[in-house]
Amino acid sequence: MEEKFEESRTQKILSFLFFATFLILIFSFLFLFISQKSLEKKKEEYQKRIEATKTKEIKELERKINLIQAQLRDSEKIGKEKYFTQKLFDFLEKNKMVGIKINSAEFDFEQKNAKISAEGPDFLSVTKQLKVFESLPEIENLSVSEVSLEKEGKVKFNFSFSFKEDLIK
Amino acid sequence: MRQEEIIFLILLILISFLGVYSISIFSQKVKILKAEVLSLKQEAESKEKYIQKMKEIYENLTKNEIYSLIQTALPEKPDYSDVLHFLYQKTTEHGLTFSSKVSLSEKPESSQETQATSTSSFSLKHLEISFSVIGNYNSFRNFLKDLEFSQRHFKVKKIEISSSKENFEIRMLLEVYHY
Repeated sequence: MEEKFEESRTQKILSFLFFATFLILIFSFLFLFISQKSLEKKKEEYQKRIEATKTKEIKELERKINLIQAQLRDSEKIGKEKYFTQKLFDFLEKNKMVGIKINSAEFDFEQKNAKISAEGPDFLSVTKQLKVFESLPEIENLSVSEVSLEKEGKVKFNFSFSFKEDLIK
Repeated sequence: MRQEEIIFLILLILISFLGVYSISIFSQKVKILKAEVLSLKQEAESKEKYIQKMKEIYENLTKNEIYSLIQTALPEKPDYSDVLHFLYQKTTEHGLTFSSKVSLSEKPESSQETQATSTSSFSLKHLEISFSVIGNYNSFRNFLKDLEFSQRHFKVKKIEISSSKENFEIRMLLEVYHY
């Protein structure tokens, strides 16, 4: 009788252990399965959000901002390098003596040099004019290439010089 | 303990081990997925933040008065029509007349500029414009003033002046920029 009771108790414990293990396993699997499904859903959602950031509209916005950045950068650079050619004309007008007439002129503002062909009423005026240019600190490398006497007594002269950058800044 | 019970117990232990083993593999998979989702979440959030910031920057830039100025000064396209219209308008306004054709040519970038802009997607291009006008000296000076103070960046590279009977013929080489 006692032996039978012992057997049934062991059976009960074993059955309980079996069901308990089975339930724990089932619930664990269920929990993991639900977690996996939820994570997969979230993954899909985030992938969609990332994909949405790669639209044409966003790329266009990036392009526009890059353009503005380039425009600002280059404007600053160009602004620093900008010069005003009128200042050279003002300078020449200011230092040109009465009676001297400029017939033709070539100005290269990148190389900062000028070639001028002019005429004066007489030799003295021309030498005085050249003296003025020679004395100006803004003018460098003054070179007179030709001086010729015209029929009417006028004197034609060709000269070239380079000028300092500050003159047109 | 009976023999059947011992077999049952062994089976139970085996099943438990198998179950725990499978759960640990499954759990590892879920853990990896969780890390992946977290990284995607961070990526999505940072990208959204970046876009939001870009939109704010763009809005602020377009609201700034300097925006319209730089759009005119350094346009995205050469805007040939605008350049030609400006030149025609200003020469006419100051009583100058074109005495030659207007030549336009794209100048290749210098190696220095290529280096400087290699990091940027936009590189500055130079458009050279040459033409001759006839008129008096004061008209030319006024034209030059308008040119140098215009919103579009005009760089005067060369000027050749020759006087004829009453007027001057002025040959100019200019440069404008675009992207």
